[in-house]
Amino acid sequence: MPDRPDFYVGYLAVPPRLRRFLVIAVPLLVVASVVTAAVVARMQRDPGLGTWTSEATSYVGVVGLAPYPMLFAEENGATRTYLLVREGKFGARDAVQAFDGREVTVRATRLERGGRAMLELVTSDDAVVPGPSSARVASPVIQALGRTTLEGEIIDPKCYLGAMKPGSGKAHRACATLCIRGGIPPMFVTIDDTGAETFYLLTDPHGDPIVEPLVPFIGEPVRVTGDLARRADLLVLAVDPTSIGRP
Amino acid sequence: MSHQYVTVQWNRHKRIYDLLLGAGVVLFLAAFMIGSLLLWRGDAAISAPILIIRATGVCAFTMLTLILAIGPLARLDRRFLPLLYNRRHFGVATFVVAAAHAALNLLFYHGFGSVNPLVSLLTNSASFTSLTAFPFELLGVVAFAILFVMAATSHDFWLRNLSPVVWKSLHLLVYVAYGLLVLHVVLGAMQTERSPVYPALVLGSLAIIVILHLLAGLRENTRPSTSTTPDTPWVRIGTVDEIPDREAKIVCLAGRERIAVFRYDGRVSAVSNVCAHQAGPLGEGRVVDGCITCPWHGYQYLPDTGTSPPPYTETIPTYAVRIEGRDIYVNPAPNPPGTPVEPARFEEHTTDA
Repeated sequence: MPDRPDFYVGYLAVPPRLRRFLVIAVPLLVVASVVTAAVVARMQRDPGLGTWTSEATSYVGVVGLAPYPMLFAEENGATRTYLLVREGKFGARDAVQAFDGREVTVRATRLERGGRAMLELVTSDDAVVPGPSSARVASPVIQALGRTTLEGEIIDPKCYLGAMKPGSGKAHRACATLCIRGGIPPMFVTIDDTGAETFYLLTDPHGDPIVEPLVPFIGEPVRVTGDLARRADLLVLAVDPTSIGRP
Repeated sequence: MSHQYVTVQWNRHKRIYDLLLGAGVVLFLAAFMIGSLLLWRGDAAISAPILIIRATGVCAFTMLTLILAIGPLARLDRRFLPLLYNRRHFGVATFVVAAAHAALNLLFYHGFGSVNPLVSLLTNSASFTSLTAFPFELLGVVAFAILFVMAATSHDFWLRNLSPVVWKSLHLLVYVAYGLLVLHVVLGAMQTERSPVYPALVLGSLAIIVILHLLAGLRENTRPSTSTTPDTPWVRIGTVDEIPDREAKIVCLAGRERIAVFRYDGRVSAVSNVCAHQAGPLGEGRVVDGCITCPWHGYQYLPDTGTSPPPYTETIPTYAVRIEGRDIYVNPAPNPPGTPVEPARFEEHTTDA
């Protein structure tokens, strides 16, 4: 009779030869699985250098509501633009509606990536208070830069700048859609060959907020065409909705 | 050994199995997260929720791949049968890991917004006609629903009350779930992650599962088959000498259920090849302590009656069998489950001469 393989019965003692096999095979299986986990982890794409402060700080500046809520602050002799958002996936229009063109002090945490910054207002009553000055201040002038076509990705800047890393790509699409529909200003990001990122605030062709025409294209590589303008340190692209498409 | 309902049926082997399984899951998640944290640190760190979402997603997919590989592996090499013994707990553990992946996705990608997270999940459809914009989340939702149904019915109570046929059919949906998960990854994460490692691992896993099943199926089809002759119901299925003692020969008859013909202690009995528990291949089992013992979970049947030894009550169909010289003949008409059939006898000593 040829040597028969061991027969395993779960509620009986494991035959010695089978036990020796299992003592080698099972750890090998676990090691192979763990190595797989490490390899997949190693191959994840770069999430980017985004930051989000944990402590709230006060910022003084002038509120602008059009096209999206933002704060123009004077820093080191230049105007610094902060996009304003609330906690969660919501814009800050309601919170700063009454202060358009006025100087305010806001308490907020700060998100920043590649030179672009955003403030998330705290949830307490002192999130936005008037002053210290009560004068109305003109918001920065808009400088037209001409018609432009860009290739990149439509993002919700709150996640992309640091709230969720990585805050781009297909897996993040649903989140970005909620953010943009919730009032967080939509932005367009391009990345050049050196990895440098440029951010563009997106509006409709009239300079008003744009949401729904962007939604089908959020989170994937797209090409857009529109009129580019600079407003202080912020690039604004008045995008032609019919131009948005996959490159 | 047979049916006896308890919340979780554990024994020493199952405890060891579950401990190793739990340790494997913890090590897998730890390797993924520690590996990520070492690589991406400080301002370049991946957000913790995303890291856990990814770790649990990759872990659940790997676990499901292993679960699907165990079946054909155990058919091809019996030494893998211990991995199959407690596969049910492996499946439930996979569901738990997948549930963590789904819950965190729902919370962080679809929560904190102006609509209910479930509404966001089910309505976030870019385009069903575009591969790049396909709502891959819905594929994951359907797969998760299948895993939930399987985990919820992963108990002998449901096996008995749904009937083994319905239960088995239900649990074969795991292949649908796996296919959906492959698409979930291909149309989801792989649309953004550019490393060739991802398609290599996902499509490689799929290829391994397909190849293992093909090999196991091929082996099944190479088993000797026979057919009835019109003038007699008896079918010659071979000789007693070609069946090792306390083992069986599986007979495939056209249009009929497979028959397991066991030789033991100078006798031959024939029963259905299908275990009443989870349809395991009885003919790949052995006679242990006088009972036909299923290779999958050790369910036992008396060879001459097709009934589980008391106090258990499972029954399987039996077949009439007779021996002429050394030739075995089986009547392929099955007797009702549990019908006693006199074993055919032969002179044992001439076999081993």
